[in-house]
Amino acid sequence: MNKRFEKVLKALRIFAIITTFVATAFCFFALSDDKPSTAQTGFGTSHSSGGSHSSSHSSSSSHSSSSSHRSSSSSSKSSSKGSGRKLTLQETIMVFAIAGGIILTPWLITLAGHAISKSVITANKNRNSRAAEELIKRYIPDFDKDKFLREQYDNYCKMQVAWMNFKLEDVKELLSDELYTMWTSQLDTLELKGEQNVMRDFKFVSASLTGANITNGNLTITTDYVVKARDYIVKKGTNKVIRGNKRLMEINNIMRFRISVDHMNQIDKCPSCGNVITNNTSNVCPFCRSTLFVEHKKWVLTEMTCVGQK
Amino acid sequence: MDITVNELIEKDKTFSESEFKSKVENQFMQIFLAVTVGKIERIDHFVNDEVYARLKAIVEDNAAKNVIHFYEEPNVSNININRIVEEEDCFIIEASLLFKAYDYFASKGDLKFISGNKDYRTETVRRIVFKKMKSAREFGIQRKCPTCGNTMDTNYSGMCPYCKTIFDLETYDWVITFLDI
Repeated sequence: MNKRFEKVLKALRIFAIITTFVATAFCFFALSDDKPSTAQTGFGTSHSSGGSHSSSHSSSSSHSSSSSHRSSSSSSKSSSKGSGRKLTLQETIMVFAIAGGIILTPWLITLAGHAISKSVITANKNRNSRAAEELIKRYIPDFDKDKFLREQYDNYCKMQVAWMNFKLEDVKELLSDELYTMWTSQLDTLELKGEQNVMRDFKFVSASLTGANITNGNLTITTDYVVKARDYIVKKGTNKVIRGNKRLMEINNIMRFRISVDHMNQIDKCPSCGNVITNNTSNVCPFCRSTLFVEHKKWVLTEMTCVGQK
Repeated sequence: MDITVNELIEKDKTFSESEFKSKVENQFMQIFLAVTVGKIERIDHFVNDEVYARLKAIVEDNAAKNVIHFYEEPNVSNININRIVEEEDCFIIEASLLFKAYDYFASKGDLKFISGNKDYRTETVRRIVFKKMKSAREFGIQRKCPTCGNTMDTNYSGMCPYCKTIFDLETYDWVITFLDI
């Protein structure tokens, strides 16, 4: 549906551009020989007669003789030939109105198309968001969409700061293991080149839930975030920008989060000491202080794809 | 015998096409990054011995020449499953993908450009083959370390966070048996 809309809009845009050209050309040709007449009717300026003589006295008061001279000669031709005929005020207005109509109509249609397409996309998004929320609530009845999106934005900022400072282990618990491994390798590459990816000045723009699915006991949520931030590469230890620039950019990321629903209601036991752990948020066993790896119990980021930057 | 994706899903209930493609992308990137930084032990658990030996040889060769093979700003797209084969004891998936990167060699230390392409991303279609044993044990996201029995939630590192045992993914999941590199 959206794709079809996009095609129609593209066609309309091309049509609008072509008609703008045609209309401009039409105006140009229609008015090019009529400037004296418009001057006469009070619209034009005095430069229309051409030649050195007219340009030397081109004030509004002094032009009448030359323009009237020329217009009278052109008006004498107008009966046999269209070009050079004086246009009346009404005709001039009509020319502008027709040209304006030709130019504006396709643009208005395009704008209307945009508005319709936007509302269709928004409606689809809302429908997807509602369906996703319903699916999530089947497994997590107390799921709060807004709270989730807010929390994940905070986590996103933490991840970016950790990435910038080469301290991914600070956010390991927020990432799936495969993503953590990949980002670690990417950071190693940056370090190898003596570069640093600066990410700062985050500003939240928007966030939405766009989908959810369940596979192999894992619930995966797809979200769409728009944030503003500065994102550029510098030579490590210096402030010299190598790639990108320091301006604030709008970044659109598709982020996927996963949680295992199979083990949600299981009683947690520390794998090291065997004690039962309840409401643990620190990832450290309160009995033996072992680090707990609880990826399946918490939302972890599994994928982050940048789909737009401006 | 060739089978379709739907037939594979019927035979292997844990298979999901989207998850598989996501895995292909992730593992492919990890391999190339591991070659750049020379730490291929990170990817040992999801490639078979033959692929690992080839990658090790490449890394050793680069080290001997004192060069680094950079795949800068890597990107994987257009992942296609071209063929699925069912054999007596395993499933084989042949896939292809479009790999884009600034692909060049630089000298270690001063990072001086030696050869390759640093001006634009080269695009190459790469072939990759995965194999999964039919006897692979199903454990979803929660795995038990075969050595100490503790839960291994860190999914694809192949290392138990408690006893640090590296386990071979071949007994559990898809492993790469061929790779265009």
